[in-house]
Amino acid sequence: MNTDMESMISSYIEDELNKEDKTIFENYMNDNPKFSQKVHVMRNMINQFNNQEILTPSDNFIDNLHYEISNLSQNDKITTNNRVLTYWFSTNWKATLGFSFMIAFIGMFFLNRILISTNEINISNSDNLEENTTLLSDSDSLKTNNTEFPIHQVKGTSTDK
Amino acid sequence: MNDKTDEELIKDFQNGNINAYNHLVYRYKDRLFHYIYQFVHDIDKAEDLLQDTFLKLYTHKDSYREIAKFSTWIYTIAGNFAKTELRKFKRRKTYSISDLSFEDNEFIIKDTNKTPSDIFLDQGLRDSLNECLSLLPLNFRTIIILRDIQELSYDEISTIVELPLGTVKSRINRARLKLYECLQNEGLK
Repeated sequence: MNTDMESMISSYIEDELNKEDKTIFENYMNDNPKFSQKVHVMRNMINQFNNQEILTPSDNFIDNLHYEISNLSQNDKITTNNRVLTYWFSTNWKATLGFSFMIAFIGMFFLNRILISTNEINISNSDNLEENTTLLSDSDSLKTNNTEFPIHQVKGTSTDK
Repeated sequence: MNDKTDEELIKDFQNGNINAYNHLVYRYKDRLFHYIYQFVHDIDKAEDLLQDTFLKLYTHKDSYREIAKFSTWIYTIAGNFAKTELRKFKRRKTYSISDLSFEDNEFIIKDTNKTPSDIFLDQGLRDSLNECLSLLPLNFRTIIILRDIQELSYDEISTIVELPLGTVKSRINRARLKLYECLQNEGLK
């Protein structure tokens, strides 16, 4: 079957062909009864669709819809801020990503500061401890020095006198 | 209010007139319900999706811009809901016509003496036609529903399906030819 003619079937049925094409198409139909039958069936098919019984929603559809809308309005009042935030986060994902990085950076900065200050306290504490230890060592060494010179030697010195 | 166009009504609704919304709902509920039903073939599901469509109209009224007709906008919303539901359903359950049970196959026309044009006289054929429609690929089915059942213009369909006018026209023709072939096969069974 001629594919060019087949591609023109809908245009012919909907009367969109120009006069020249229409004549060619109708001549082809006259020469090809099988093709003519096909066009006839397709026309009927479209008519069947056009004349289909229109289904309608149930009688309480409008009531249900209004009920849902009133629920929606109540929820809106309660969660307006949440909705705005959710909408903002869902629609501006790039900004959200940037915002998250910024929060993470600030968090890390403060965490770092806290760790540094904690460390500084530890260091100063350990410095003091070290200082005390040094002092203790000095006194210890003095003591040691003292012990290096036993009392009896001092006494001995006096005895030398 | 009745003599206002859809575009005037949506503008009124955007300005806070809830009556305009109600008018739009009354104006579109039946055809949108029928439109959605053609995809999902379930009355309850179609009603739920219709409700979702009008709720979206309520909550996203400001998304409408007067660059397109209101009808194309609302059909796009309803169609998206219907197609999403259809995809969910297909993921849950996939079967071909040959997998259907004996009871499901009862719609098939068995009288081989009838010519395709004769069988159009039967109520059974209407069912066959709908069955063939449901077997079409989604892009062909959508376009047939919009053109032959909802009787929208080619321009409106072109906007809804986001395809050039020429593509829409050729796709409608191909979809109708596929339907014809399907009916032929149904008649031969």
